[in-house]
Amino acid sequence: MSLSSEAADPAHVGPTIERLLIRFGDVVRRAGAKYGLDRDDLDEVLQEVRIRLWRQGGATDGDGEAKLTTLTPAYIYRAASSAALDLLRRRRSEKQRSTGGLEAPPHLPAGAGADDRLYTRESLAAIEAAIDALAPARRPVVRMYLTGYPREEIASLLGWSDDKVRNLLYRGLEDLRQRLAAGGMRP
Amino acid sequence: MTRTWTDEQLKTAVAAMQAKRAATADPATVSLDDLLALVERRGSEAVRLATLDAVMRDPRARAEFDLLRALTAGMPRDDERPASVSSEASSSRGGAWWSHRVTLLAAAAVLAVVIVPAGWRMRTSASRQEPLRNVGAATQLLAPATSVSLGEARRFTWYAMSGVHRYRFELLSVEGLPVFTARTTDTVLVLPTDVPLTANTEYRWWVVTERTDGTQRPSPFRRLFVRSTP
Repeated sequence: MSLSSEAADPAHVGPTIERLLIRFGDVVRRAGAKYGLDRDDLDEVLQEVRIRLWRQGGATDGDGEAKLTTLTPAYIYRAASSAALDLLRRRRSEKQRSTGGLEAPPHLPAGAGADDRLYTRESLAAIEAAIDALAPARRPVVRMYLTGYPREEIASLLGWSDDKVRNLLYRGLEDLRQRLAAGGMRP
Repeated sequence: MTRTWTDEQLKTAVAAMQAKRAATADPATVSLDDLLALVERRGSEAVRLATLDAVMRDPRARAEFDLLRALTAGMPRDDERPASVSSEASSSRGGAWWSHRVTLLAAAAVLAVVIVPAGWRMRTSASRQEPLRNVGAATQLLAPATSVSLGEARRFTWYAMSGVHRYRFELLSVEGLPVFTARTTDTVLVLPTDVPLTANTEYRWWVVTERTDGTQRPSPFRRLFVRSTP
């Protein structure tokens, strides 16, 4: 049997796509590092970017190049968010089918799991109740902050000024401390 | 002396709560549509605050939120861009349009998986030869060549890789639509006879190695032009 040993040539996917891949390769790696992906994952990421660019371009040459240069951020975002939702739906579906074995979420706050022995189920429930009792505008800000998100991200997500976030956070944390003290909860 | 909770102590307590919740098998409590509305800043503030509160309570929803949030990073907000966004308009707002495109594509890629239609049958060759061993980043595609006759275009081979649990094979149309996908432990795959290939048509194919440690390594794409003549 005669098998070709010709290596796959990256140029076969189209010079336009390869140029684009080089340009955003650094960004892919930064995004991957931010979310804790290892190098293998990043390699797969680049390949997935390739297939998506290729599909969006419709072809690797000629028309494909023209389409790639006319893609708008809004168009790309819609396609990407649609793909993301499809992925998350599949993951949810897979987890529902599986029994147990749920992996730890990738973004647990620092110290998660290490210090939980410091708290009884009852004390955690009391703290949770104190947070739940916060005013609706303060509560998610406090939760987000205590989960580890910086104030700037809270402001950006909610479209608020930093002053507004700082004010709500300050008042929310003070309220929380008072509620804990009133309930006899000491650190 | 009265002791009050410091920020760090409160964060530790919240981390403990999250760890306990993560240990349960409860499904995520926030709908994906609500998650997307939150990161896109759509809907009323009251609803978004309620969604955010629910997300921060639920480690699984928060992981999903972070992924979607990454997707929107660097994108112009709805209130910052016209309904019809042009690349020129985006690039004039202080950041290169490409940076938006790149960020989105990067995030999309982090999220992306190739959709594998279920139910397609796969047949492997019984007459396979033991392929070469190759320890590398990705498997190399061996055959068919990039331009072959219709009769030669149905048998696909690639290098075996160490530590690979199985291979995911994908044959795509030039538009990027799956023509045939399969998973196999073999390094040879013969298209089932009910999978049509059209003469004078170009396809693409690739193989993703799925390793025992859960990592995946895709090969580069290869063109496959099916000639009508030998």
